[in-house]
Amino acid sequence: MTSYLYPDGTLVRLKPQGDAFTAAPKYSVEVTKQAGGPAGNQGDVAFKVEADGTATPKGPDDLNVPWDKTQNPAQYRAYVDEALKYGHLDAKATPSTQPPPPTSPTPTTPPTPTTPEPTTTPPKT
Amino acid sequence: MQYEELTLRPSTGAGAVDVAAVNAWLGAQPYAFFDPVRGDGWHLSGSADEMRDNRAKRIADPQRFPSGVCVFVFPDHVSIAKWIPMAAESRMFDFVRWLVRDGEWTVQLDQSPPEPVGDPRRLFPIGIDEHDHTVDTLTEGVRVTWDA
Repeated sequence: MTSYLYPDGTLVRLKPQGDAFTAAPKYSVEVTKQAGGPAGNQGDVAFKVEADGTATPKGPDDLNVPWDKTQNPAQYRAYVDEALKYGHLDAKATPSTQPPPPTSPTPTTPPTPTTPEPTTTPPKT
Repeated sequence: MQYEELTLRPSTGAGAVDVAAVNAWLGAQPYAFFDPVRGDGWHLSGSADEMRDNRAKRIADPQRFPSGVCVFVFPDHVSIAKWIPMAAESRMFDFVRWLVRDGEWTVQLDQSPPEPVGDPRRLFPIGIDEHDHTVDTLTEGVRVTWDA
């Protein structure tokens, strides 16, 4: 899995090989509570983002499931499974040829030129 | 504590996982099955009956595991992932508690930095260690359920 954390707190998680439960390529777009900080666990995530940009719950604990987990486990599981699909998106097998946007702000000053490496081999002593 | 994946690493001794012992323990659990499709991991369900259903689903749709808990055992770490685990989460707790019973282990929650496991109970919601017997296979009597 490859993660991209952006300065505004957006975290993109790309799983080209899928995850433990599926072999299909997946990705998710999440908004973290730790803007600019390291990517942590799901507790650091505020919500996920659907393909159309709409916010969606990140996990089962953020869903208001109308079914009781113990009394109606099949309904509970089906509801959660369907609801969470909006935040766990299918990735295309062939990605765009355009490079991803930078994960840090573009530097405003040009890079300092470096001294070129010598191309000749020093004589052996 | 919310997470989707746990990565557990032994931090004492040679830092090696006793893969054979872990596989043997998982293989002895009636709620666990070894992946018949890829042959590289385990799936934990809430009960033996549920395990049989999930194993059949896995064979019918090799592209995905049924919801529950997946365990992958490597020479240097154990990876555990959950997806709507429900009753299987208590089985996951049983496994983690057994795994870290001896020695020191570190745990990584999703992409968080590794940290000492300490008491594995802290990794699970309150009450998860109280196994949900409503999903167990009946040994006697009749189970009656009703809508709330």
